[in-house]
Amino acid sequence: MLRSRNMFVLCLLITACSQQPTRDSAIRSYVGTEPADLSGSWGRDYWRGDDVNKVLERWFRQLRRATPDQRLASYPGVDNAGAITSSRDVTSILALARLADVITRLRSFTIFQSEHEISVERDQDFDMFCEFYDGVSQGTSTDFGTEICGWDGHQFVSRLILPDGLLVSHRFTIAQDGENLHVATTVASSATGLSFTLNRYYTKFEPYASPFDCIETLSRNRVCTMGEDSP
Amino acid sequence: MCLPLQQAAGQLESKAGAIPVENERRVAELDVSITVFAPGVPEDPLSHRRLQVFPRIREIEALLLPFMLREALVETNEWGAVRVLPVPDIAAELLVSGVIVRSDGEALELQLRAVDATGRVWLEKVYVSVETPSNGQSLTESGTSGYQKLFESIAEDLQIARARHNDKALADIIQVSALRYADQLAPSVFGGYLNTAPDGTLKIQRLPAENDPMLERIEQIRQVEYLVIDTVDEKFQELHAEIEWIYELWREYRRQVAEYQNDETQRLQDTRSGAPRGSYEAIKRLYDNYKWARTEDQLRENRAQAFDNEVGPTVMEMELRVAELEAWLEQQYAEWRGILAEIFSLETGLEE
Repeated sequence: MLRSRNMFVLCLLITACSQQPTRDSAIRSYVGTEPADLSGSWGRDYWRGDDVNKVLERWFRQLRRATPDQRLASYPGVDNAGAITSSRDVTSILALARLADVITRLRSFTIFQSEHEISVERDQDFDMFCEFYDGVSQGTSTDFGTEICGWDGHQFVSRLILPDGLLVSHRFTIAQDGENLHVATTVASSATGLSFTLNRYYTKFEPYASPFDCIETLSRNRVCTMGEDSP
Repeated sequence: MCLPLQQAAGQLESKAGAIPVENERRVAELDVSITVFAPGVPEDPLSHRRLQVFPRIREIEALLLPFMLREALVETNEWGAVRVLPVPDIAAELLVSGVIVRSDGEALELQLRAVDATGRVWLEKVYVSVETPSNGQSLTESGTSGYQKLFESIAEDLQIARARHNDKALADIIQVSALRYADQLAPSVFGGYLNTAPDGTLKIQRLPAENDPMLERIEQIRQVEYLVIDTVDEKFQELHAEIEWIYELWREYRRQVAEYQNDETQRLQDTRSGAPRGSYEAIKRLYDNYKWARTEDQLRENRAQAFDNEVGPTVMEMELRVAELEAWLEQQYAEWRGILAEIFSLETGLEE
Protein backbone atom coordinates (compact mmCIF):
# COMPACT_ATOMS: atom_id res chain seq x y z
CA MET A 1 0.00 0.00 0.00
CA LEU A 2 2.56 2.62 0.81
CA ARG A 3 5.63 3.31 -1.24
CA SER A 4 9.00 2.55 0.15
CA ARG A 5 10.32 4.84 2.76
CA ASN A 6 13.24 6.00 0.59
CA MET A 7 10.89 7.75 -1.82
CA PHE A 8 9.20 9.67 0.92
CA VAL A 9 12.38 10.82 2.55
CA LEU A 10 12.60 13.23 -0.41
CA CYS A 11 8.99 14.29 -0.11
CA LEU A 12 7.72 17.43 1.41
CA LEU A 13 4.03 17.04 1.73
CA ILE A 14 1.26 19.42 1.01
CA THR A 15 -2.33 18.88 1.82
CA ALA A 16 -4.27 16.88 -0.72
CA CYS A 17 -7.34 18.88 -0.24
CA SER A 18 -6.47 22.49 -0.30
CA GLN A 19 -10.21 23.22 -0.21
CA GLN A 20 -10.59 21.63 3.23
CA PRO A 21 -9.39 23.45 6.31
CA THR A 22 -6.83 21.50 8.22
CA ARG A 23 -8.03 22.81 11.52
CA ASP A 24 -11.70 21.95 11.97
CA SER A 25 -13.64 24.24 14.20
CA ALA A 26 -16.91 22.68 15.33
CA ILE A 27 -19.46 24.82 17.04
CA ARG A 28 -21.00 23.27 20.09
CA SER A 29 -24.38 24.86 19.82
CA TYR A 30 -26.97 25.87 17.30
CA VAL A 31 -30.32 27.52 17.38
CA GLY A 32 -33.46 26.08 15.87
CA THR A 33 -33.85 22.76 14.07
CA GLU A 34 -30.88 20.65 13.12
CA PRO A 35 -29.15 22.05 10.03
CA ALA A 36 -29.17 18.88 7.92
CA ASP A 37 -30.55 15.36 7.95
CA LEU A 38 -27.78 12.81 7.59
CA SER A 39 -29.82 9.77 8.58
CA GLY A 40 -29.71 6.64 6.50
CA SER A 41 -27.46 3.85 5.38
CA TRP A 42 -24.45 4.98 3.36
CA GLY A 43 -22.31 2.83 1.05
CA ARG A 44 -18.85 3.82 -0.17
CA ASP A 45 -18.59 5.24 -3.65
CA TYR A 46 -15.23 3.88 -4.80
CA TRP A 47 -15.29 5.92 -8.00
CA ARG A 48 -14.83 9.06 -6.03
CA GLY A 49 -12.73 10.01 -3.09
CA ASP A 50 -9.04 9.96 -2.30
CA ASP A 51 -6.67 7.10 -2.66
CA VAL A 52 -4.04 7.50 0.01
CA ASN A 53 -1.19 6.52 -2.33
CA LYS A 54 -2.25 9.05 -4.92
CA VAL A 55 -2.52 11.77 -2.33
CA LEU A 56 1.00 11.05 -1.19
CA GLU A 57 2.23 10.84 -4.79
CA ARG A 58 0.73 14.24 -5.47
CA TRP A 59 2.62 15.63 -2.56
CA PHE A 60 5.80 14.02 -3.79
CA ARG A 61 5.36 15.51 -7.29
CA GLN A 62 4.82 19.02 -5.92
CA LEU A 63 7.82 18.61 -3.74
CA ARG A 64 10.00 17.58 -6.70
CA ARG A 65 8.82 20.64 -8.69
CA ALA A 66 9.78 22.99 -5.89
CA THR A 67 13.13 24.74 -6.35
CA PRO A 68 15.51 24.74 -3.42
CA ASP A 69 15.12 28.44 -2.75
CA GLN A 70 11.33 28.37 -2.98
CA ARG A 71 9.61 28.23 0.34
CA LEU A 72 6.58 26.06 0.60
CA ALA A 73 4.97 28.78 2.58
CA SER A 74 4.53 30.78 -0.60
CA TYR A 75 2.10 28.19 -1.97
CA PRO A 76 -1.39 29.43 -1.17
CA GLY A 77 -3.77 27.02 0.52
CA VAL A 78 -0.97 24.62 1.30
CA ASP A 79 -1.15 22.76 4.55
CA ASN A 80 1.85 21.82 6.58
CA ALA A 81 3.57 24.70 4.82
CA GLY A 82 7.04 24.94 6.11
CA ALA A 83 6.27 22.31 8.73
CA ILE A 84 8.15 19.43 7.14
CA THR A 85 11.72 19.91 8.10
CA SER A 86 13.10 16.47 8.83
CA SER A 87 12.80 12.78 8.12
CA ARG A 88 11.07 12.44 11.44
CA ASP A 89 8.33 14.72 10.17
CA VAL A 90 8.07 12.56 7.08
CA THR A 91 7.68 9.51 9.28
CA SER A 92 5.01 11.34 11.20
CA ILE A 93 3.01 12.31 8.14
CA LEU A 94 3.23 8.78 6.82
CA ALA A 95 1.90 7.51 10.12
CA LEU A 96 -0.95 10.01 10.01
CA ALA A 97 -1.75 9.02 6.43
CA ARG A 98 -1.73 5.35 7.28
CA LEU A 99 -4.02 5.84 10.26
CA ALA A 100 -6.40 7.98 8.19
CA ASP A 101 -6.53 5.23 5.61
CA VAL A 102 -7.27 2.54 8.20
CA ILE A 103 -9.98 4.61 9.87
CA THR A 104 -11.72 5.38 6.59
CA ARG A 105 -11.75 1.87 5.15
CA LEU A 106 -15.44 1.51 5.96
CA ARG A 107 -17.56 0.07 3.21
CA SER A 108 -20.70 1.37 4.79
CA PHE A 109 -22.15 2.89 7.92
CA THR A 110 -25.56 3.92 9.21
CA ILE A 111 -26.46 7.26 10.66
CA PHE A 112 -29.34 7.56 13.09
CA GLN A 113 -30.45 11.09 13.72
CA SER A 114 -33.14 12.52 15.92
CA GLU A 115 -33.80 15.83 17.55
CA HIS A 116 -31.46 14.95 20.40
CA GLU A 117 -28.91 12.54 18.98
CA ILE A 118 -26.74 11.71 16.06
CA SER A 119 -25.18 8.28 16.00
CA VAL A 120 -22.86 6.99 13.28
CA GLU A 121 -22.78 3.22 13.54
CA ARG A 122 -19.69 1.78 11.95
CA ASP A 123 -18.75 -1.81 11.42
CA GLN A 124 -15.50 -2.84 13.14
CA ASP A 125 -15.25 0.53 14.86
CA PHE A 126 -16.96 2.38 17.68
CA ASP A 127 -20.10 4.41 17.04
CA MET A 128 -19.64 8.14 16.85
CA PHE A 129 -22.24 9.63 19.14
CA CYS A 130 -23.42 13.18 19.72
CA GLU A 131 -26.21 14.40 21.96
CA PHE A 132 -28.06 17.67 21.65
CA TYR A 133 -30.18 19.31 24.30
CA ASP A 134 -31.35 22.88 24.10
CA GLY A 135 -29.07 23.33 21.15
CA VAL A 136 -25.92 22.41 23.08
CA SER A 137 -24.04 19.38 21.82
CA GLN A 138 -22.05 16.88 23.80
CA GLY A 139 -19.86 14.00 22.72
CA THR A 140 -18.39 11.32 24.91
CA SER A 141 -15.38 11.01 27.13
CA THR A 142 -13.34 8.08 28.41
CA ASP A 143 -10.02 7.65 30.19
CA PHE A 144 -8.41 7.34 26.77
CA GLY A 145 -9.79 10.36 24.96
CA THR A 146 -12.63 12.76 24.37
CA GLU A 147 -15.01 13.23 21.50
CA ILE A 148 -16.51 16.61 20.87
CA CYS A 149 -19.05 17.24 18.17
CA GLY A 150 -21.44 19.73 16.70
CA TRP A 151 -22.67 21.52 13.64
CA ASP A 152 -20.50 23.87 11.60
CA GLY A 153 -23.12 25.46 9.40
CA HIS A 154 -24.65 22.53 7.52
CA GLN A 155 -21.73 20.25 8.22
CA PHE A 156 -21.63 17.82 11.10
CA VAL A 157 -18.21 17.58 12.72
CA SER A 158 -16.91 15.00 15.15
CA ARG A 159 -13.49 15.48 16.69
CA LEU A 160 -11.62 12.89 18.69
CA ILE A 161 -8.93 14.26 21.00
CA LEU A 162 -6.44 11.59 21.99
CA PRO A 163 -3.30 11.68 24.14
CA ASP A 164 0.04 12.91 22.82
CA GLY A 165 -1.71 15.60 20.82
CA LEU A 166 -3.34 13.24 18.33
CA LEU A 167 -6.56 14.51 16.74
CA VAL A 168 -8.98 12.70 14.46
CA SER A 169 -11.82 14.65 12.98
CA HIS A 170 -14.60 13.77 10.55
CA ARG A 171 -16.57 16.39 8.68
CA PHE A 172 -19.86 15.21 7.15
CA THR A 173 -21.41 17.15 4.29
CA ILE A 174 -24.59 16.01 2.61
CA ALA A 175 -25.32 16.91 -0.99
CA GLN A 176 -28.38 18.95 -1.81
CA ASP A 177 -30.12 15.93 -3.30
CA GLY A 178 -29.70 14.14 0.02
CA GLU A 179 -28.37 11.02 -1.73
CA ASN A 180 -24.66 11.64 -1.47
CA LEU A 181 -22.46 12.24 1.52
CA HIS A 182 -18.93 13.56 1.67
CA VAL A 183 -16.76 12.76 4.66
CA ALA A 184 -13.44 14.50 5.15
CA THR A 185 -11.31 12.74 7.72
CA THR A 186 -8.30 14.56 9.10
CA VAL A 187 -5.70 12.99 11.32
CA ALA A 188 -3.46 15.58 12.91
CA SER A 189 -0.74 15.82 15.47
CA SER A 190 -0.51 18.98 17.51
CA ALA A 191 2.89 17.82 18.67
CA THR A 192 4.35 18.13 15.17
CA GLY A 193 1.83 20.52 13.64
CA LEU A 194 1.23 18.07 10.81
CA SER A 195 -2.06 16.79 9.43
CA PHE A 196 -3.36 14.52 6.71
CA THR A 197 -6.83 14.55 5.18
CA LEU A 198 -8.63 11.92 3.18
CA ASN A 199 -11.94 12.50 1.43
CA ARG A 200 -14.49 9.74 1.02
CA TYR A 201 -17.84 9.74 -0.71
CA TYR A 202 -20.87 7.68 0.12
CA THR A 203 -24.20 7.01 -1.54
CA LYS A 204 -27.41 6.34 0.27
CA PHE A 205 -28.88 2.85 -0.04
CA GLU A 206 -31.75 0.85 1.38
CA PRO A 207 -30.46 -1.94 3.58
CA TYR A 208 -31.76 -5.44 3.19
CA ALA A 209 -34.98 -5.92 5.15
CA SER A 210 -34.66 -9.03 7.25
CA PRO A 211 -37.79 -11.15 7.61
CA PHE A 212 -37.00 -11.49 11.30
CA ASP A 213 -37.71 -9.10 14.14
CA CYS A 214 -34.95 -9.50 16.66
CA ILE A 215 -34.37 -7.98 20.06
CA GLU A 216 -31.56 -8.42 22.50
CA THR A 217 -32.40 -9.80 25.92
CA LEU A 218 -30.24 -10.30 28.94
CA SER A 219 -31.03 -13.92 29.75
CA ARG A 220 -31.53 -15.33 26.25
CA ASN A 221 -29.32 -13.02 24.21
CA ARG A 222 -30.86 -12.42 20.79
CA VAL A 223 -34.48 -13.44 20.41
CA CYS A 224 -36.00 -13.37 16.94
CA THR A 225 -39.52 -13.77 15.73
CA MET A 226 -40.92 -13.84 12.24
CA GLY A 227 -41.92 -10.38 11.11
CA GLU A 228 -45.56 -9.54 10.45
CA ASP A 229 -45.08 -9.40 6.69
CA SER A 230 -43.29 -12.69 6.36
CA PRO A 231 -45.18 -15.71 4.94
CA MET B 1 -66.28 -0.05 66.54
CA CYS B 2 -63.34 0.66 68.84
CA LEU B 3 -59.98 1.56 67.60
CA PRO B 4 -57.81 -1.42 68.49
CA LEU B 5 -55.46 1.08 69.98
CA GLN B 6 -57.96 2.30 72.58
CA GLN B 7 -58.19 -1.17 73.99
CA ALA B 8 -54.44 -1.35 74.11
CA ALA B 9 -54.25 2.10 75.67
CA GLY B 10 -56.79 1.06 78.29
CA GLN B 11 -54.77 -1.97 79.16
CA LEU B 12 -51.61 0.08 79.36
CA GLU B 13 -53.20 2.36 81.91
CA SER B 14 -54.37 -0.51 84.06
CA LYS B 15 -51.29 -2.63 83.69
CA ALA B 16 -48.39 -0.27 83.71
CA GLY B 17 -45.29 -1.67 82.03
CA ALA B 18 -47.12 -4.63 80.55
CA ILE B 19 -47.45 -4.81 76.79
CA PRO B 20 -50.66 -6.64 75.94
CA VAL B 21 -50.56 -9.28 73.28
CA GLU B 22 -53.96 -9.59 71.69
CA ASN B 23 -55.55 -10.61 68.51
CA GLU B 24 -54.88 -7.08 67.36
CA ARG B 25 -51.29 -6.12 66.97
CA ARG B 26 -49.02 -4.92 69.74
CA VAL B 27 -48.55 -1.19 70.04
CA ALA B 28 -44.93 -1.54 68.90
CA GLU B 29 -45.97 -3.19 65.68
CA LEU B 30 -46.48 -0.08 63.69
CA ASP B 31 -47.71 -0.39 60.13
CA VAL B 32 -44.98 0.65 57.73
CA SER B 33 -45.67 2.23 54.36
CA ILE B 34 -42.79 2.25 51.93
CA THR B 35 -43.19 4.46 48.92
CA VAL B 36 -41.67 3.68 45.58
CA PHE B 37 -38.19 5.20 45.62
CA ALA B 38 -37.26 8.23 43.62
CA PRO B 39 -35.04 7.03 40.74
CA GLY B 40 -32.48 9.77 41.36
CA VAL B 41 -31.90 10.31 37.66
CA PRO B 42 -29.96 13.56 37.18
CA GLU B 43 -32.01 16.26 35.51
CA ASP B 44 -29.36 17.01 32.94
CA PRO B 45 -29.69 14.27 30.30
CA LEU B 46 -26.20 15.07 29.04
CA SER B 47 -24.74 13.75 32.30
CA HIS B 48 -26.34 10.31 32.07
CA ARG B 49 -23.64 8.73 29.92
CA ARG B 50 -20.81 10.18 31.97
CA LEU B 51 -22.37 8.94 35.22
CA GLN B 52 -23.44 5.63 33.66
CA VAL B 53 -27.05 6.21 34.61
CA PHE B 54 -29.65 4.28 32.63
CA PRO B 55 -32.90 6.11 33.40
CA ARG B 56 -35.26 3.28 32.51
CA ILE B 57 -33.36 0.82 34.68
CA ARG B 58 -33.36 3.28 37.55
CA GLU B 59 -37.14 3.54 37.25
CA ILE B 60 -37.38 -0.24 37.46
CA GLU B 61 -35.04 -0.32 40.44
CA ALA B 62 -37.20 2.32 42.10
CA LEU B 63 -40.04 -0.23 41.99
CA LEU B 64 -37.96 -3.28 42.96
CA LEU B 65 -35.77 -1.99 45.77
CA PRO B 66 -38.64 -0.87 48.08
CA PHE B 67 -39.96 -4.39 47.86
CA MET B 68 -36.59 -5.76 48.97
CA LEU B 69 -36.77 -3.46 51.99
CA ARG B 70 -40.29 -4.66 52.62
CA GLU B 71 -39.10 -8.24 52.67
CA ALA B 72 -36.33 -7.38 55.11
CA LEU B 73 -38.81 -5.70 57.47
CA VAL B 74 -41.34 -8.52 57.24
CA GLU B 75 -38.56 -10.99 57.94
CA THR B 76 -37.90 -9.37 61.34
CA ASN B 77 -41.48 -10.03 62.43
CA GLU B 78 -41.29 -6.81 64.40
CA TRP B 79 -43.75 -4.67 62.50
CA GLY B 80 -47.43 -4.60 61.61
CA ALA B 81 -48.49 -4.53 58.01
CA VAL B 82 -45.62 -3.51 55.70
CA ARG B 83 -46.79 -2.23 52.36
CA VAL B 84 -45.23 -0.74 49.25
CA LEU B 85 -47.17 2.21 47.88
CA PRO B 86 -46.89 4.09 44.61
CA VAL B 87 -47.47 7.46 46.33
CA PRO B 88 -46.73 8.64 49.88
CA ASP B 89 -49.45 8.21 52.49
CA ILE B 90 -49.13 11.15 54.84
CA ALA B 91 -51.38 9.42 57.35
CA ALA B 92 -49.08 6.38 57.48
CA GLU B 93 -47.98 5.29 60.93
CA LEU B 94 -44.42 5.06 59.68
CA LEU B 95 -43.61 6.30 56.21
CA VAL B 96 -40.35 5.26 54.58
CA SER B 97 -39.16 6.98 51.43
CA GLY B 98 -35.91 6.85 49.53
CA VAL B 99 -33.85 8.19 46.67
CA ILE B 100 -31.49 6.06 44.62
CA VAL B 101 -28.32 8.11 44.60
CA ARG B 102 -26.13 5.56 42.85
CA SER B 103 -26.64 2.09 41.41
CA ASP B 104 -24.04 0.98 38.93
CA GLY B 105 -23.17 -2.60 39.75
CA GLU B 106 -20.25 -1.56 41.90
CA ALA B 107 -22.32 0.02 44.62
CA LEU B 108 -25.84 0.90 45.67
CA GLU B 109 -26.27 4.22 47.46
CA LEU B 110 -29.66 4.90 48.94
CA GLN B 111 -30.77 8.06 50.70
CA LEU B 112 -33.43 6.97 53.13
CA ARG B 113 -35.95 8.83 55.29
CA ALA B 114 -38.42 7.46 57.82
CA VAL B 115 -41.08 9.70 59.35
CA ASP B 116 -43.86 8.73 61.70
CA ALA B 117 -47.43 10.03 61.57
CA THR B 118 -46.66 12.82 64.04
CA GLY B 119 -44.00 14.15 61.66
CA ARG B 120 -41.05 13.06 63.77
CA VAL B 121 -38.09 11.91 61.71
CA TRP B 122 -36.83 8.48 62.73
CA LEU B 123 -34.13 8.08 60.12
CA GLU B 124 -32.42 10.31 57.61
CA LYS B 125 -29.34 8.61 56.34
CA VAL B 126 -27.45 7.48 53.26
CA TYR B 127 -26.85 3.75 53.06
CA VAL B 128 -24.13 2.37 50.83
CA SER B 129 -23.43 -1.17 49.82
CA VAL B 130 -20.41 -2.18 47.81
CA GLU B 131 -20.91 -5.22 45.63
CA THR B 132 -18.46 -8.01 46.25
CA PRO B 133 -19.24 -11.71 45.89
CA SER B 134 -18.53 -13.77 48.97
CA ASN B 135 -15.74 -16.33 48.66
CA GLY B 136 -15.42 -15.80 44.95
CA GLN B 137 -18.99 -16.88 44.25
CA SER B 138 -21.19 -14.82 42.01
CA LEU B 139 -23.96 -12.83 43.63
CA THR B 140 -26.59 -15.18 42.28
CA GLU B 141 -24.85 -18.15 43.86
CA SER B 142 -23.89 -16.74 47.22
CA GLY B 143 -27.46 -15.97 48.25
CA THR B 144 -26.46 -13.07 50.44
CA SER B 145 -25.79 -10.02 48.35
CA GLY B 146 -24.62 -6.65 49.52
CA TYR B 147 -28.09 -5.31 48.79
CA GLN B 148 -29.67 -7.71 51.29
CA LYS B 149 -27.22 -6.60 53.96
CA LEU B 150 -28.06 -2.98 53.21
CA PHE B 151 -31.77 -3.57 53.75
CA GLU B 152 -31.13 -5.59 56.89
CA SER B 153 -29.11 -2.66 58.14
CA ILE B 154 -32.03 -0.33 57.49
CA ALA B 155 -34.40 -2.70 59.30
CA GLU B 156 -32.04 -2.76 62.25
CA ASP B 157 -31.79 1.02 62.35
CA LEU B 158 -35.57 1.34 62.28
CA GLN B 159 -35.83 -1.00 65.24
CA ILE B 160 -33.23 1.03 67.11
CA ALA B 161 -35.15 4.20 66.33
CA ARG B 162 -38.37 2.58 67.55
CA ALA B 163 -36.72 1.54 70.79
CA ARG B 164 -36.25 5.23 71.56
CA HIS B 165 -40.05 5.56 71.79
CA ASN B 166 -41.98 4.29 74.78
CA ASP B 167 -45.32 2.57 74.44
CA LYS B 168 -47.21 5.79 75.03
CA ALA B 169 -45.37 7.50 72.22
CA LEU B 170 -46.02 4.58 69.88
CA ALA B 171 -49.68 4.53 70.86
CA ASP B 172 -49.84 8.25 70.09
CA ILE B 173 -48.38 7.62 66.65
CA ILE B 174 -51.12 5.13 65.88
CA GLN B 175 -53.75 7.55 67.17
CA VAL B 176 -52.36 10.46 65.17
CA SER B 177 -52.26 8.29 62.07
CA ALA B 178 -55.95 7.48 62.45
CA LEU B 179 -56.85 11.10 63.13
CA ARG B 180 -54.84 12.37 60.17
CA TYR B 181 -56.62 9.93 57.93
CA ALA B 182 -59.96 11.00 59.37
CA ASP B 183 -59.02 14.64 58.87
CA GLN B 184 -58.27 13.98 55.19
CA LEU B 185 -61.68 12.44 54.64
CA ALA B 186 -63.80 14.64 56.86
CA PRO B 187 -61.88 17.79 57.73
CA SER B 188 -64.90 19.57 59.10
CA VAL B 189 -65.43 16.80 61.64
CA PHE B 190 -61.87 15.94 62.60
CA GLY B 191 -60.04 19.12 61.81
CA GLY B 192 -59.60 20.16 65.41
CA TYR B 193 -58.25 17.00 66.97
CA LEU B 194 -54.60 17.64 66.16
CA ASN B 195 -52.43 20.66 66.49
CA THR B 196 -48.93 21.42 65.41
CA ALA B 197 -46.29 21.79 68.10
CA PRO B 198 -43.49 24.38 67.80
CA ASP B 199 -41.13 21.66 66.61
CA GLY B 200 -43.46 20.93 63.69
CA THR B 201 -44.74 17.63 65.00
CA LEU B 202 -48.41 16.86 65.47
CA LYS B 203 -49.89 16.51 68.93
CA ILE B 204 -53.25 15.12 69.93
CA GLN B 205 -55.41 17.91 71.22
CA ARG B 206 -58.46 15.78 71.95
CA LEU B 207 -59.77 12.35 71.13
CA PRO B 208 -63.13 11.46 69.60
CA ALA B 209 -65.62 9.44 71.61
CA GLU B 210 -65.05 5.73 71.60
CA ASN B 211 -68.33 5.05 69.82
CA ASP B 212 -68.24 8.02 67.46
CA PRO B 213 -70.22 6.80 64.42
CA MET B 214 -68.27 9.05 62.04
CA LEU B 215 -65.05 7.52 63.25
CA GLU B 216 -66.47 4.05 62.70
CA ARG B 217 -67.37 4.93 59.13
CA ILE B 218 -63.90 6.28 58.51
CA GLU B 219 -62.35 3.17 59.94
CA GLN B 220 -64.44 1.07 57.58
CA ILE B 221 -63.36 3.24 54.65
CA ARG B 222 -59.76 2.85 55.71
CA GLN B 223 -60.13 -0.91 55.72
CA VAL B 224 -61.46 -0.74 52.16
CA GLU B 225 -58.52 1.43 51.21
CA TYR B 226 -56.15 -1.05 52.81
CA LEU B 227 -57.69 -3.76 50.64
CA VAL B 228 -56.89 -1.73 47.55
CA ILE B 229 -53.41 -0.90 48.83
CA ASP B 230 -52.82 -4.58 49.57
CA THR B 231 -53.80 -5.34 45.99
CA VAL B 232 -51.27 -2.77 44.81
CA ASP B 233 -48.71 -4.29 47.15
CA GLU B 234 -49.43 -7.68 45.59
CA LYS B 235 -48.63 -6.20 42.20
CA PHE B 236 -45.21 -5.20 43.52
CA GLN B 237 -44.79 -8.72 44.87
CA GLU B 238 -45.68 -10.23 41.53
CA LEU B 239 -43.32 -7.90 39.74
CA HIS B 240 -40.52 -8.80 42.08
CA ALA B 241 -41.19 -12.53 41.67
CA GLU B 242 -41.15 -12.24 37.88
CA ILE B 243 -38.14 -10.08 37.27
CA GLU B 244 -35.96 -10.48 40.34
CA TRP B 245 -33.74 -13.12 38.73
CA ILE B 246 -33.23 -11.00 35.62
CA TYR B 247 -32.37 -8.03 37.79
CA GLU B 248 -29.83 -10.14 39.68
CA LEU B 249 -28.37 -11.14 36.32
CA TRP B 250 -28.07 -7.48 35.38
CA ARG B 251 -26.42 -6.60 38.67
CA GLU B 252 -23.94 -9.43 38.33
CA TYR B 253 -23.17 -8.38 34.77
CA ARG B 254 -22.54 -4.80 35.84
CA ARG B 255 -20.35 -5.85 38.70
CA GLN B 256 -18.23 -8.08 36.47
CA VAL B 257 -17.99 -5.43 33.77
CA ALA B 258 -16.98 -2.78 36.28
CA GLU B 259 -14.29 -5.07 37.66
CA TYR B 260 -13.01 -5.99 34.19
CA GLN B 261 -13.00 -2.41 32.94
CA ASN B 262 -11.19 -1.10 35.98
CA ASP B 263 -8.50 -3.76 35.59
CA GLU B 264 -8.20 -3.33 31.84
CA THR B 265 -8.12 0.46 32.00
CA GLN B 266 -5.36 0.29 34.57
CA ARG B 267 -3.45 -2.19 32.44
CA LEU B 268 -3.74 -0.10 29.28
CA GLN B 269 -2.72 3.05 31.07
CA ASP B 270 0.25 1.38 32.68
CA THR B 271 1.45 -0.35 29.52
CA ARG B 272 3.34 1.95 27.22
CA SER B 273 3.92 1.07 23.62
CA GLY B 274 7.58 0.38 22.79
CA ALA B 275 7.18 2.12 19.43
CA PRO B 276 8.65 5.62 18.99
CA ARG B 277 6.31 8.46 19.74
CA GLY B 278 4.55 9.67 16.62
CA SER B 279 5.09 6.41 14.77
CA TYR B 280 2.18 4.54 13.21
CA GLU B 281 2.28 1.84 15.88
CA ALA B 282 2.19 4.43 18.65
CA ILE B 283 -0.71 6.47 17.27
CA LYS B 284 -2.62 3.34 16.26
CA ARG B 285 -2.35 2.15 19.85
CA LEU B 286 -3.78 5.45 21.11
CA TYR B 287 -6.71 5.10 18.71
CA ASP B 288 -7.27 1.43 19.58
CA ASN B 289 -7.30 2.16 23.32
CA TYR B 290 -10.04 4.70 22.83
CA LYS B 291 -11.88 2.36 20.49
CA TRP B 292 -11.79 -0.38 23.15
CA ALA B 293 -13.17 1.96 25.84
CA ARG B 294 -15.99 3.19 23.61
CA THR B 295 -16.85 -0.30 22.46
CA GLU B 296 -17.15 -1.38 26.10
CA ASP B 297 -19.46 1.57 26.77
CA GLN B 298 -21.61 0.59 23.82
CA LEU B 299 -21.79 -2.99 24.98
CA ARG B 300 -22.95 -1.85 28.39
CA GLU B 301 -25.65 0.32 26.83
CA ASN B 302 -26.76 -2.59 24.66
CA ARG B 303 -27.03 -4.79 27.73
CA ALA B 304 -29.08 -2.12 29.50
CA GLN B 305 -31.40 -2.03 26.54
CA ALA B 306 -31.53 -5.84 26.60
CA PHE B 307 -32.56 -5.73 30.24
CA ASP B 308 -35.31 -3.27 29.47
CA ASN B 309 -36.44 -5.36 26.49
CA GLU B 310 -36.82 -8.35 28.75
CA VAL B 311 -38.54 -6.80 31.76
CA GLY B 312 -40.11 -3.74 30.18
CA PRO B 313 -43.41 -5.32 29.16
CA THR B 314 -43.91 -6.84 32.63
CA VAL B 315 -43.13 -3.57 34.33
CA MET B 316 -45.37 -1.60 32.02
CA GLU B 317 -48.28 -3.97 32.63
CA MET B 318 -47.80 -3.67 36.36
CA GLU B 319 -47.57 0.11 36.20
CA LEU B 320 -50.78 0.26 34.18
CA ARG B 321 -52.62 -1.91 36.68
CA VAL B 322 -51.34 0.13 39.61
CA ALA B 323 -52.36 3.33 37.85
CA GLU B 324 -55.86 1.90 37.35
CA LEU B 325 -56.14 1.05 41.03
CA GLU B 326 -54.86 4.46 42.03
CA ALA B 327 -57.30 6.21 39.76
CA TRP B 328 -60.15 4.16 41.18
CA LEU B 329 -59.05 4.98 44.72
CA GLU B 330 -58.82 8.66 43.99
CA GLN B 331 -62.28 8.65 42.54
CA GLN B 332 -63.59 6.77 45.56
CA TYR B 333 -61.89 9.24 47.86
CA ALA B 334 -63.77 12.11 46.34
CA GLU B 335 -67.03 10.21 46.63
CA TRP B 336 -66.38 9.24 50.23
CA ARG B 337 -65.57 12.80 51.19
CA GLY B 338 -68.77 13.99 49.64
CA ILE B 339 -70.84 11.30 51.35
CA LEU B 340 -69.28 11.90 54.74
CA ALA B 341 -69.82 15.64 54.47
CA GLU B 342 -73.47 15.03 53.64
CA ILE B 343 -73.91 12.64 56.55
CA PHE B 344 -72.26 15.12 58.91
CA SER B 345 -74.57 17.81 57.72
CA LEU B 346 -77.63 15.60 58.22
CA GLU B 347 -76.56 14.37 61.63
CA THR B 348 -75.55 17.69 63.09
CA GLY B 349 -77.63 20.14 61.13
CA LEU B 350 -74.39 22.01 60.43
CA GLU B 351 -73.22 22.78 56.90
CA GLU B 352 -69.58 21.96 56.08
